[in-house]
Amino acid sequence: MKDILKIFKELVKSWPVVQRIARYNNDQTYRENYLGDFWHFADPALQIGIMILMFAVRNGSDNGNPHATGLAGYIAWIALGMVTYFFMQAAMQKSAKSIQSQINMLSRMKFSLSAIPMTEIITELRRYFVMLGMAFFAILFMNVKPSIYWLQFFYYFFAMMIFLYALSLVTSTITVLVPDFYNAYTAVLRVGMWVSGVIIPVDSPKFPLLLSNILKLNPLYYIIQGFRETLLENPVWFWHNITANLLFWGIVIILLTVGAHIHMRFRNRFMDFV
Amino acid sequence: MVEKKVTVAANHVTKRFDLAERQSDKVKAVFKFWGKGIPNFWAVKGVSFEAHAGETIGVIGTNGSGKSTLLEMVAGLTQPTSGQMTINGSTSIIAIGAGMRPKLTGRANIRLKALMQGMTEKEIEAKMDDIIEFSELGDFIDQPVKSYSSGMKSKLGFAISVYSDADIVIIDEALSVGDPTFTQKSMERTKRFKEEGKTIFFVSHSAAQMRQMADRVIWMHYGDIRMDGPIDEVMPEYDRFLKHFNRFSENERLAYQKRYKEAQKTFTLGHLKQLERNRQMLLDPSTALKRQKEDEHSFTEGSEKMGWFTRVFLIVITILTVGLMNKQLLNMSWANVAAHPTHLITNFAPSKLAQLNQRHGRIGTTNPAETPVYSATQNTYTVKDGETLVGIAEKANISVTAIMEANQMMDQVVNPGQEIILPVER
Repeated sequence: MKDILKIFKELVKSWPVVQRIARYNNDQTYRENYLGDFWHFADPALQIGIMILMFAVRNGSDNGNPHATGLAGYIAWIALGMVTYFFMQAAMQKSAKSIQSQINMLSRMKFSLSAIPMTEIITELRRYFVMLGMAFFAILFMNVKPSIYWLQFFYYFFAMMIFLYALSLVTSTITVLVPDFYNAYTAVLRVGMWVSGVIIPVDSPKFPLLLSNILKLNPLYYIIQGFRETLLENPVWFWHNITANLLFWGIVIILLTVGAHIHMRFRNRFMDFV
Repeated sequence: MVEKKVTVAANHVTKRFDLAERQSDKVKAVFKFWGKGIPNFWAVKGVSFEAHAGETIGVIGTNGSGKSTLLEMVAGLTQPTSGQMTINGSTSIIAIGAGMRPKLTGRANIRLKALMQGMTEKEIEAKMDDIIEFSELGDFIDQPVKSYSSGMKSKLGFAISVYSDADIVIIDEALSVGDPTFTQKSMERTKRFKEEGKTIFFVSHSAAQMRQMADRVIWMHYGDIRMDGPIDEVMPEYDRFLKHFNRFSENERLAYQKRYKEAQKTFTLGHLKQLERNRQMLLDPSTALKRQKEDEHSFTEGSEKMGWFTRVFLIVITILTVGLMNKQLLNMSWANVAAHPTHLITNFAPSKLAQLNQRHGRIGTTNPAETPVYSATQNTYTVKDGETLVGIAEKANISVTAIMEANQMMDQVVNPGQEIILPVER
């Protein structure tokens, strides 16, 4: 408990620095390339485009997806899911590696180590918002009107950030201690899209119920589904499914407690491990 | 002399490293239970000193005497294994090539480092030209740092730190790499720090530099402070030691080093406690016991275990979450869970799961496999009683004319038992 408080205090204290570094990272990444920022968005846009082409067009009229109707509906449904997933995947992957790759540089500086994974997450936000803007463009084609339910976006956004940070505390520490973990983690993240209901709806009637329910435990699914409910589907407030909410926050609290503890316990030794 | 503000206070500070051979041993060494057989090395074994504002403290000692480790702790980069290190003010450490990203240009590195030290973009813009000028890099500032010579790197590092405005500045051998002119300039600059009331620690092997800069010297000797005092007292002693040491034969020197290194391996906190107790006894036996009680916490390693409250909390949350998972998996209602908590487990029985699938209309249960509308071997079909060609065409979803063409029929009359061909429409 003390650890969590301490970490959040550090986070608040280094918040301005985190933001500045995130902006700096974004400006630097593709500086050498002629097209610069274009590459930030080209890769995910290509992937989403392909997925829409192959899945949305093919499955558009299918009744396998209880959440989307028609081609436009399916495109919006897929695009929103993929934008969210890509952001989470990139943030999770980079934040897991963050401490390991930057400790050499940061060990000579007075900068809270707990803020480093957050820096990576914040760095990814720029791409996320631009991609989200594109997804909104797709949503416009549907007959969706802004409503009060859209305010839930902030709730899910907050939930997503907390979840990503809690997870990054755990993964970044483990990556330093056991480098093999990172390989396994990236491999899992790469296939994670298929079990998080991004492209194939996990509650399709074609799955046995137990399988759907297992897939629904995934916190990534909770977030992705949350954004879809907020922006696309029949208006529902996020508290309609108490169990799912409690489960998600239970997982987040466990991750946060464990993450804060192991981060604090090992951070004085990170230098010895790299 | 007026007593100046204490900026750094070290109280029985120790630092231990694990001499693990493999990564996995390092991880094990962290857990006391596993890490029994892994050797330790005490780089700093119980060091106490105070530093004041406006002081320039030179740290000397042979290689591996714990200078850098001590200064890293002063900078707050690493934490002591035991003892307290109290730091009042911001710190900045200057070491050769430290904290640079080799792929980025000098300018980008300045920006990044400044950002990490908490400067805003405006402040950086304002200082950028001064930093570049001080670093003497000229056009090289826009080249990637990997192409720099070690002298250029240290110049850049020094220039960045000079403008970082810290209360405590630590210079770890960074002065000895540049050319004499630059070194001179850096030292002038460092003296200005002193006038501004900053505390400066610096490590150097050059006695001349030391005499020029420091007014107090700490002599580190294999993890201990051998001497701490004004430069006029310590430097002659150190010189005498070096002369003596250099006169040793190779074997003697190795034996000497080995003896001290061995002491650093076998050192324990209990040992330090005993030493301190003896010292207190000699100083003033009447208060020794009291002092010892007060200092008790200095001789124990900080506990890193999870607090009891956190542990209980974590266990409770985990149990609740697992329970919720089961509830979610089995689609149970709150009322059901409250009435039959055991169902959270027993409902995983295959028969119950089958029932669940049935209730929710999932595959394998309520939807029997769709029976084909007509049975045909390949594409021939035997007409049954009372069927018309139109009826068959509708069932097979083929137009009547297509069937007639395929069978070369003149009219739509079909007889029971007659075999007709159903063409495949492409």
